[in-house]
Amino acid sequence: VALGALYLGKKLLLDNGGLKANATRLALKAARALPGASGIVEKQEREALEKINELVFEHEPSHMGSLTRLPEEGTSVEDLLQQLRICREEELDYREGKAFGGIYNNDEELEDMLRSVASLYLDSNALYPAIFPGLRKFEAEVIRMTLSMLHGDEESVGNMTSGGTESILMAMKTYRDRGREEFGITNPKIVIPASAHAAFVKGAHYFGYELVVVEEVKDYRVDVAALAAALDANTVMVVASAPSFPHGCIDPIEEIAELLKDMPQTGLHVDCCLGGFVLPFLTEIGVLEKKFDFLVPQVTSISVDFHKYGFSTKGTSAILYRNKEIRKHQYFTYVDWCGGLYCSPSLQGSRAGAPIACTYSILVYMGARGYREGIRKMHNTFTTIVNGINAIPGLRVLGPPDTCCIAYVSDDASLDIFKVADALSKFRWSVNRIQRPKALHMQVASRADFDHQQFLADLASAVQDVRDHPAEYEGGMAGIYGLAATLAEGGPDQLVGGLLGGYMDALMA
Amino acid sequence: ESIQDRFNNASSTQVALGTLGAVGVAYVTAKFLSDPEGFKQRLLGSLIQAARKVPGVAGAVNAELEKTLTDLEADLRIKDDDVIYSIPEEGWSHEKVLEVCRALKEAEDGRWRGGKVSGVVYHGGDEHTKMQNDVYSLFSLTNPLHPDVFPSIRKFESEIVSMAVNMMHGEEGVVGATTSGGTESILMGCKAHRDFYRKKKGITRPEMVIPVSAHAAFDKAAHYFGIKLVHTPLDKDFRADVAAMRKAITPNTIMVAGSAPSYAHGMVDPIPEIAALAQEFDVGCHVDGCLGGFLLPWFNELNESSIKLPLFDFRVPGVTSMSADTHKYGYSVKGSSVVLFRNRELRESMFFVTTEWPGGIYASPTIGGSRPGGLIAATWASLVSVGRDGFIRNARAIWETKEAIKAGVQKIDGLKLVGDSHSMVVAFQSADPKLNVFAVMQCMTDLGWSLNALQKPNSVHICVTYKHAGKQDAFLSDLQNSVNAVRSDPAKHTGGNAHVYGLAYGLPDRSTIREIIVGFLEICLKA
Repeated sequence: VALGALYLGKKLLLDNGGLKANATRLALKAARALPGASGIVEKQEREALEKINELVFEHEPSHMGSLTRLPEEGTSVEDLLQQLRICREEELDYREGKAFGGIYNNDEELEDMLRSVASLYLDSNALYPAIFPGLRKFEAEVIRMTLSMLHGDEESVGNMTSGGTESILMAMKTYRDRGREEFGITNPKIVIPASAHAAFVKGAHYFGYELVVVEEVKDYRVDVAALAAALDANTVMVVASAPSFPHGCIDPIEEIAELLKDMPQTGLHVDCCLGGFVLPFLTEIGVLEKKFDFLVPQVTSISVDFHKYGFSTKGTSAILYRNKEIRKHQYFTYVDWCGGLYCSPSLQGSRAGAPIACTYSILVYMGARGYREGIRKMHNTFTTIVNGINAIPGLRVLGPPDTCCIAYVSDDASLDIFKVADALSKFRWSVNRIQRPKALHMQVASRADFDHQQFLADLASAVQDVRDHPAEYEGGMAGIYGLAATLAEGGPDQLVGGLLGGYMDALMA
Repeated sequence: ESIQDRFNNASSTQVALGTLGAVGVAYVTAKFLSDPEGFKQRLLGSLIQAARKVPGVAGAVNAELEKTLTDLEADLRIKDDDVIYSIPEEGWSHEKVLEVCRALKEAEDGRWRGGKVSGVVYHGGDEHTKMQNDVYSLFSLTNPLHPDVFPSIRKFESEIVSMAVNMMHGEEGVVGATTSGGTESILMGCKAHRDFYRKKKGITRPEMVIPVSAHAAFDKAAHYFGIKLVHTPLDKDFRADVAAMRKAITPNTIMVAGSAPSYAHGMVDPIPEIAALAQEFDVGCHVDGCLGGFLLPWFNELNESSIKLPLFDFRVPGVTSMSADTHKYGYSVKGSSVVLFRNRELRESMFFVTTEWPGGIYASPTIGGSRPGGLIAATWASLVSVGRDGFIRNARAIWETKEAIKAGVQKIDGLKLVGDSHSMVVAFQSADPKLNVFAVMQCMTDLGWSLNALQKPNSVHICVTYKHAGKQDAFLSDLQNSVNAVRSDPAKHTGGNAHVYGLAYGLPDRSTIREIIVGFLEICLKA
């Protein structure tokens, strides 16, 4: 029964019907409740976990033993570095330009510079500006440069964080407290498009928000009328993405802003984690006309990552606000601690200094021109790929996307898009599989080593191969992702949650 | 880890005078009042608040506040630097970037390399630092969010956790994760217990019972995660008062906590008693070893009869989670810590999982999404390169230095210990009403030492690190000279930071203090 339900779920999925997905969810829940059937579901779960384990451990460095306690004697620096170099060499696959892995640039000189700067500042800690005044300067100027780029005026402010998730969490903490302290709102609500980053869901879970997800879209951008219907007096925060990670689409920010004209309690947060260093330059080269940043008067905060298209080292992002009055709600102060007066601007206490110095360095090293020229090239590649995918029979790009990311689905019921991903891996391409709807996803970075013509040719071959030899692709990774995606559509949360919990356990085993 | 650390190295009389001005009303009044904690203080607090509402006074106070902050800014800012307000049109060369960074870096090295700073830099050996740099460089682009692309980072992370579990005597089943620092480790410990007990007992209005000496991050966690925090007092030895904790437990309690050791006084709370409470009431018990987690276990291996620490790790039944910073006595680079859990079920309550996101099924163990793999690799390298023997050797050097400092401070007429310094922190206060301990600290600052100012009671501490090893005689003779100097000319030394701390800590109007520190944060972030 359970298997049947799963199977049925998959069949229904292909039709993409909302109603049918609900039916699947009910069927699955019913199946789990039946004696015996839940065992079968669990077996599927177990098998999936085994596959996940394989996936995680497949590439484990094999030349080093596994440590479970501190070695009795310390390892010599020479031996250690030797072992680590081998690890690193084994990982260099991404240099082929076929695994994306969050690498946005592969310029050797740029990497060298970041390493040199990082080693200068590796000991430093931004918690102590009096001891490390250089970090204070770097952070302040990084923020100012970023605000200028996103059209913040003199009142606008911000601070650096450890990544996009922290930037988003800090904005949510700020609006929650602002709503409570300035508007007396004790049941805060956040309204987000379904395509907004998962960190907003995380924040709602952490900070006690009522989360309203607007599922309705128009061309894969949030439907403004549906979003308007979700707003109420308790809404302290509305989110728009520029662009969204799944589909590379910019939400209609100016129209959303119009809705908020008479809602002083509601902040409008634009998530530019992905596009912060892309969109300003697309505007400059005349490709983008929409306004998305502080030029839109109702936009009160923006998150932007440096470790993506800003090319900085991992662990660097910023949260920007229209003014100090909003930002002050982000601070945490505790004046009665016996350890002294305690304050911290963001989530962390001690903060690594090296990423801050690296970010300053990369901004001045690239210069506006460096970023602009890189984005010009990236945009050309992006356009070629979108057109190229649409030209392959059976495939269709969702959106159309604005920039950065491209998601494409199968338009043909006999072609399983996840099997296409398995086929692509034979050509050593590693692509993301996404859901709701089931699609393949890629991010276009500014990497010189990425051969997009080769990618399009391999994609066409992969589609052909799945059509010609469908049997070869039964039971591959498509099975796991298909199961997971199916469950996400209709399955009981605890089952999918269990799979993911198992995945994380495997990561940390 | 507090604002004083920042004030500390600010050389400035201007800062002090400015702050003094800002709280001028309080200062004058405080002169006439000597009971800092009681009724008069509360009365004074409301008087100041009221005074600030009077138009003329408000303007004057605000002007002084402004001036304090301007002075503070002048002190934190690098003199005559070129400030950049927008991305330069043309990028700088690789050489120019390095030149600028190197110059700034070298200018600030003097602020800590002399080994006179409390805490902050825990190892600082040149060879160790170079190794950390090399390892970080190798892995600078890696990100554990992509374990398929960077399998070695997964290996390092899981082994860091295993080594920490083993060090904390965790049996089979004890698990953990690495985080970006002590704050995140504590946040995650609290979040896991909140979600665990919501599921287990249906508690929707969670409370935590935390001794006042516990790290401020517990307050942050309470504030972030909607947990009511109940503070309990300390006993006469500056350790958690377990009887008071017992009284504070309610049916909504999800967690109690203790420190091993506390930041302010370096005291290890009576963890076995606190954990027994946790077992009795079926709540969690978090042991915060952020500061000393990678030091205390090695003290126990020194076989010194003078070492009398209670059990504080997973050998104590009832302890459900622990935090320990690798970037402190694990001698790793900044931005690394671990959080450990008694079992997988509790750790799972830390995880965040969402199944509905169109970008894919999304799961992350801790707060971050993308995380810097270079820091994880460097942390792993630090642990294996130091090794057990190295940790024990360093622990011995730290212990001996601390014991010498502790004995020396007890011999200085006019000072007395706060608590009995049974780990690596020596906290002391004045035993003589005529001797202002913050004035002594100011003298030490003038001699190049950077110590931490504490409140409740007003006191000063040094957190002994490996960088201090062998410097006990220099410290003690400077401390004796400082006490002598303050005694011989109290007026001369009551300016400077002494007044800032004395006033800030005695100031009954806490909202004014909050304003000052918010101003401080804003200065830090101003271009």
